[in-house]
Amino acid sequence: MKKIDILRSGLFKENPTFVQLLGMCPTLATTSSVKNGLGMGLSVTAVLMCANLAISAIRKLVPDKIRIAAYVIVIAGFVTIVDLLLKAFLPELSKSLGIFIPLIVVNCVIFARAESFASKNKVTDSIVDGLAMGLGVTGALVIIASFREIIGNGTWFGLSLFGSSYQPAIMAVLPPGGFIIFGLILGGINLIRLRGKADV
Amino acid sequence: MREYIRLGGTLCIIAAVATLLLAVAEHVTSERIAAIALAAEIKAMQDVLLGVDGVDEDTATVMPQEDDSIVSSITRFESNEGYVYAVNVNPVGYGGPIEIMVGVNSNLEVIGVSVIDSSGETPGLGSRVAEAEYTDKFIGKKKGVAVVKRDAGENQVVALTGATISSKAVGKGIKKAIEAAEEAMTIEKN
Amino acid sequence: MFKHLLVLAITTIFVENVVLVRFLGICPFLGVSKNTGTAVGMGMAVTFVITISSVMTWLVSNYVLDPLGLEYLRTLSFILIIAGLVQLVEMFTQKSIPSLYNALGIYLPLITTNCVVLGVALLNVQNDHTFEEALVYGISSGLSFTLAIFLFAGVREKLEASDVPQFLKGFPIALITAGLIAIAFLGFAGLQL
Repeated sequence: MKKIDILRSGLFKENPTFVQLLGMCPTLATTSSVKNGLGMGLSVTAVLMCANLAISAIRKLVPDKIRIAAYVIVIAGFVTIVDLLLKAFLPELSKSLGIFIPLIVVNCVIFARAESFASKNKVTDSIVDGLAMGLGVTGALVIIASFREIIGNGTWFGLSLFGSSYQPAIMAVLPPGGFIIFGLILGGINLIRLRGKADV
Repeated sequence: MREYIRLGGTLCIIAAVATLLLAVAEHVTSERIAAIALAAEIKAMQDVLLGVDGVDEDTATVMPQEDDSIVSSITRFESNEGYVYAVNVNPVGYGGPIEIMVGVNSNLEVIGVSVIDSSGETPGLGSRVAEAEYTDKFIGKKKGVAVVKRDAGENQVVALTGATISSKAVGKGIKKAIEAAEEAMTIEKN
Repeated sequence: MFKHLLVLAITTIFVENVVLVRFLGICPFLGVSKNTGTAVGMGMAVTFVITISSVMTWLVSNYVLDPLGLEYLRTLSFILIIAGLVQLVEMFTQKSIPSLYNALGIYLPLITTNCVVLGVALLNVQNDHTFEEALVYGISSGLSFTLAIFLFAGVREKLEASDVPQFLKGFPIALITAGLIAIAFLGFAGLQL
């Protein structure tokens, strides 16, 4: 398989967040600010690449019956390493993402890639797939977080956009805003798709 | 049977390798993580005792305290104004504990408040309790200080709009801190 | 003590609803909420597993990991406990309580990757819960999830019959609906507990 095709499918065609709708918990929970969304996306990317690499490397050694258990151990191991590294080098981010870092263990995106890609493909392809899917998640989280932070707080990546007279719609950074804005973004994507089809 | 041993063995090897890697990662990061936590606590102590004249950092004494789930430590310093206390409290806010350092003087008045960790609170709402605009309102407040929704009285502070839970949690922590300092003083006298 | 635990339970079920406020367990919340029957089945299965798992993870954390200084194995051991527990519950109910198995069995495999279960186990540690608190937190988190998914399924059943614009059909309108229910839950934040 061509690497560029793997990349394209992770970023767009099979985007885990917008198309496959996997890993919804962190998608909603960590997008109240762009910084958190980006941090979460990159953490997921790191875990995805490492887990894909390891699982692809051991794919021929692990008997089929215990593969799920093996994946769980591999994924949990890498998640803990990312967790420890964040605590040591980016303590602020680690605190604001809280339990959603260890919860990457049960993020369906990672399981889905282990099962459907890494366990069947070469190591190099698997790493590229991890990178592509991870960046797909990161991009999606940053987009959602941008909407929420700009509307709900009047800032982007912490930078004030409209001056002090702007009254932010706080609801956007609160939990309900997360559901509604994500729903509207998905609706928007559908709208573009439907338009595209109508033109053809 | 042999099949089970083979399966179990493979899993054990994978688990052992994972544990080994984790132990290495833990070893590499643990000192740094501890240092970061300590540095944050020291910085917060310095912040809350900033206004006190002649605080001698070498006299820091960790005070005994009754078991309390909110108060995590009480540190006493000598200064030109007598004993001052830096109390670390962790009241539960909207999304988990908020870590706060509270400075209390020997008249049991609040002399400084520094929020170390309010990351569980909603960004832009509850997280504003960490800003000086809010925490400074507690300076000079005494035992029994309370957070109210509006019309603050003598020993009261008005909660931030839209962040009542976080505001009240901070208030509760500060109230507990004053009580803890008082307790530490009485334990010592006995 | 009793009052304290009651406050914890009410807070967990209503004020900080695990799904609608804390964003845990969104996948089954959106996936298994097409009708109220299955939603309640899923909710009950989750409550059952979460209660046992929060007790077990609490014991492991406090009596094994902490004394040995192995906190870094927490995530790994918790997920293995949960996965093993789900398997055991599945085998046990299948053999001993077939009626319960028939009611909950199909949801059990989905629970391992439900982040409410692992999330509650981790929050018990993070919030320094005592044994009683961990138990109450476990049960009430399960009920909290059940309440959210039941309410949501109720609305979605009605939604099936309504005329939704083409581009919002399916997932988008489900998310917007969830958001509206979450707004209702924001009202509980005003409770004076």
